[in-house]
Amino acid sequence: MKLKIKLLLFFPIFLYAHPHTFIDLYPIVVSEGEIIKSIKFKWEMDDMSSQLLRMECDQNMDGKIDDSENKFIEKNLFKPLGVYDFYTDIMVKNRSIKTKPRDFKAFFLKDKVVYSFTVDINANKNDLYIDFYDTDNFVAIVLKKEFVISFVDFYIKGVDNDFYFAHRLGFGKEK
Amino acid sequence: MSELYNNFISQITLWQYSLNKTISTAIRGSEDSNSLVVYATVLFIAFLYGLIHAAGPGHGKALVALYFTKGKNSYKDAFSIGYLIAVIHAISAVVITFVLYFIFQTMFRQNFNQFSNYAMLASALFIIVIGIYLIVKAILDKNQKIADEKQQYQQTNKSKYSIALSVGVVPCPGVMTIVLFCILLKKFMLGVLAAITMSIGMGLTISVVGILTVLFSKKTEKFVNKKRYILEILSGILIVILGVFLLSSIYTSFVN
Repeated sequence: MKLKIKLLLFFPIFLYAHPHTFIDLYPIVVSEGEIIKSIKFKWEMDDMSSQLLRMECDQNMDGKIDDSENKFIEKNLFKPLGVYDFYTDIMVKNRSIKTKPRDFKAFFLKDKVVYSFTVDINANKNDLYIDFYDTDNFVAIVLKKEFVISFVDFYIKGVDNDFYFAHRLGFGKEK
Repeated sequence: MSELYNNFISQITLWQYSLNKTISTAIRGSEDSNSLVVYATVLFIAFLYGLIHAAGPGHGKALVALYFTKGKNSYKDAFSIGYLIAVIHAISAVVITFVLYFIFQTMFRQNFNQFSNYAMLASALFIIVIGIYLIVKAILDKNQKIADEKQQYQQTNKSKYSIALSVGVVPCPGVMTIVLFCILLKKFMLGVLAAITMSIGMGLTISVVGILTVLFSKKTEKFVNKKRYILEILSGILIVILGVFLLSSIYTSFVN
């Protein structure tokens, strides 16, 4: 019964939550010993979404994203994703901490648009895992083992969280 | 069951991820060659993409299933409603993409999101009205038997078209993305054709859901016949609830 009520409550999410944008996620982990200091993320948008972003954001059509365009993207397209925690749920000692990106930079990589930003973590590898998912904006985050650069041992697994499917990047022992 | 569902969704997402890459590569390939083979390849992938895309959540499958649980429907009805939804879905996506692109070029995404919210609002209200209509119709039918079969057929057709319109009016962003991608590469005709073939794929998936529901209601016909009146009302109530939940999610997106 409880499940049925939950299903009904989240029905709208099911109804309109299917991906139209695909993001390849490339994390670079910065660590000191067992401490994960920060992670630099690169979001590589799919070709079709990249074309749309290029049309909207490369306002002077010079094939590059300059400083003013970068500011425009950060303010209008990236920062509003803070409402969704940037699709990044950081868990330290089983408690969710807010994702606070810094050093945002958008650029073109061949036909793709890439967002790059860093998130400070400062947590022991054994206390940390990060789930990546979206329930609202038709976005699918794709994370593969070969996308990760890390000197700390890590694992990737799919996580079934009842109403969404997440990719988990964990460190140390599998959680 | 939940895990099974999530595995299913995850698999569908991965297939779409691959198809998304394949179709964009194929469309880019058509820049160098206008050969029929390249066009046919793009259209075939668009068809597959539509087929898989509609298998994920959304596209009115829940509404179609609820509508057909009330019984007295044929496989032909189920098949046609899937295609009606897909046709309206495609037309709205193509028209809106062209209009937004040529009028609001640099603000495409913002305008699309805004338009999409209003379309979803209209869709939710429409769904609630259909649900209420089905409930009222079931009560009236019980009280006064409709003698004229032709009149009943016309009423069924009306509600069928309303269902298709209520779902189809919300443009599919998946179709719009492909159309826009083709427009940006100056492949206008390919964009329209890809939208049509993608919709044929989506229509097939939605029709299959309708057909399976009709099959299920036919299997339970003996039991259902005695309770048809209750089932018709229940179907209407569930459709109203679906509309209310949709409305609540749209309200949340407006507030945010």
